Amino acid sequence: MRMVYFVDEFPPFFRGGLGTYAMEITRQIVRLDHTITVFSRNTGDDPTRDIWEGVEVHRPLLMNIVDVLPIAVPEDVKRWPIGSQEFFGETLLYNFLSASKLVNRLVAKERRKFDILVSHDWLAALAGIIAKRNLNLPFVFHFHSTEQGRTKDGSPTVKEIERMAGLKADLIVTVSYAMRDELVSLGYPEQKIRVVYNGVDERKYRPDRFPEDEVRAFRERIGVGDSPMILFVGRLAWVKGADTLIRAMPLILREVPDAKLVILGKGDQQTLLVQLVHSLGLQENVILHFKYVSEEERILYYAACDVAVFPSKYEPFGIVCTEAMAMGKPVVVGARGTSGMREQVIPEGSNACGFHVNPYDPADIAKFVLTLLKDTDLRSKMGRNARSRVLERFTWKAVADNTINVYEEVVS
Amino acid sequence: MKSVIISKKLDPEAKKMLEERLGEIKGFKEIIFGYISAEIVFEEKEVGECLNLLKELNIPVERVVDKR
Repeated sequence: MRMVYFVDEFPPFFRGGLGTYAMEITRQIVRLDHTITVFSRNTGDDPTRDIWEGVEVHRPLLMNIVDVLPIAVPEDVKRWPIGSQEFFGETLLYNFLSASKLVNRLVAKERRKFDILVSHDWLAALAGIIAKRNLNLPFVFHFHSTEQGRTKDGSPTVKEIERMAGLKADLIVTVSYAMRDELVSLGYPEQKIRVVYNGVDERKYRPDRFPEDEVRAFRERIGVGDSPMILFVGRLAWVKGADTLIRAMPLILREVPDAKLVILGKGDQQTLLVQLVHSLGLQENVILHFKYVSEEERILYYAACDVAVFPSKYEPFGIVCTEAMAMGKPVVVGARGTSGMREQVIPEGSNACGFHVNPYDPADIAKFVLTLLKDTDLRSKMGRNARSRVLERFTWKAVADNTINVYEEVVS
Repeated sequence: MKSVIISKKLDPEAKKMLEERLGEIKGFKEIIFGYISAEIVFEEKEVGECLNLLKELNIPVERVVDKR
């Protein structure tokens, strides 16, 4: 199959989790002998045509069009901060120029043939819609999240872009049944929606990735030593719940006084988290690492921890949760509202690999973290089950196979 | 703001030298060292000069994060 992918992030240029998804899924698709042509955002002076690990990548050059935006955008966008308006202008250009390059250069001039158009999230939706109109090819739209879910009220313009993409798409793909339910509740036709889970590279993320002495040295280096280590990895935003986890720490420390919580990530909540740690007197027990690290170093954090906790309030699919599971770690996850992690993590029975908690309630989080911290055998058993569940359901190979099966529905 | 993530453990001498060379590039803000990687933060949108320097020093770049 010859595919066109419109995806805002593509390596080596990232903004969030979508870039990781795009990197892994395209690698797998190429391995399965399909061809894939990616159109991604140019973040400044990136090459406009490139090959990355067998994937052809186009990044049309953009420019700042903020001065003329007011005559062409809806009212709500005009009220955005100037930086956000610039970003929106660049998003429009990225979509228009990508569709134009595909239609006018690759197809009309170079006589290239494609079988399917695929857009990922609203940031690349318009390019898919325009290309479908001009090339009359099947169009699949991937919802990795929704504006409604990400931002509560959100932007009417972004919602309208999502709605239009859902309407024009021949099929919609989303990342969990929780997301499918959210889309149906927003009015998207259920018969058009297919669920394909995200994945993890199980060879990179494996429990024996690092020798024990290296893990021990790392724990010493970050100040954990022999203490029980609770790990949070993710964007430091309200929706991810790092603040609630910190609020759970006093309850955890009552029963496990030497427990250490390590928080790895960056985001809007950094100042709040520092204040929270100080106001709760947790300086000795909470280690804040506000930084991006390489993937290998992130894997080392997982290897070092005893329990991984992701108390998200909205999580269509938790990639970090899957990474921790692949590393053989038991997980405690938020399970309210749209939570793909409720499907990822089995909370009871012989295959249990973690616990579901109320992400708004520090006491609930503390209760299940303590259950794990106080029972070494349970941690080991759940960790083994977590790894098995990843191998069974969440490898990128499985993701690619399932994705191709969906595309074949519209291509054939 | 852009962050260039390098995936190499640097010894203290290499860290110092890298910090000095980065300081000569427009928009360089800070370097945050990890255990086996580091984050180089730029205020500027363009990080081409930084990428060229890292190539020259044979330091592998894993990804560039664009946070706006």
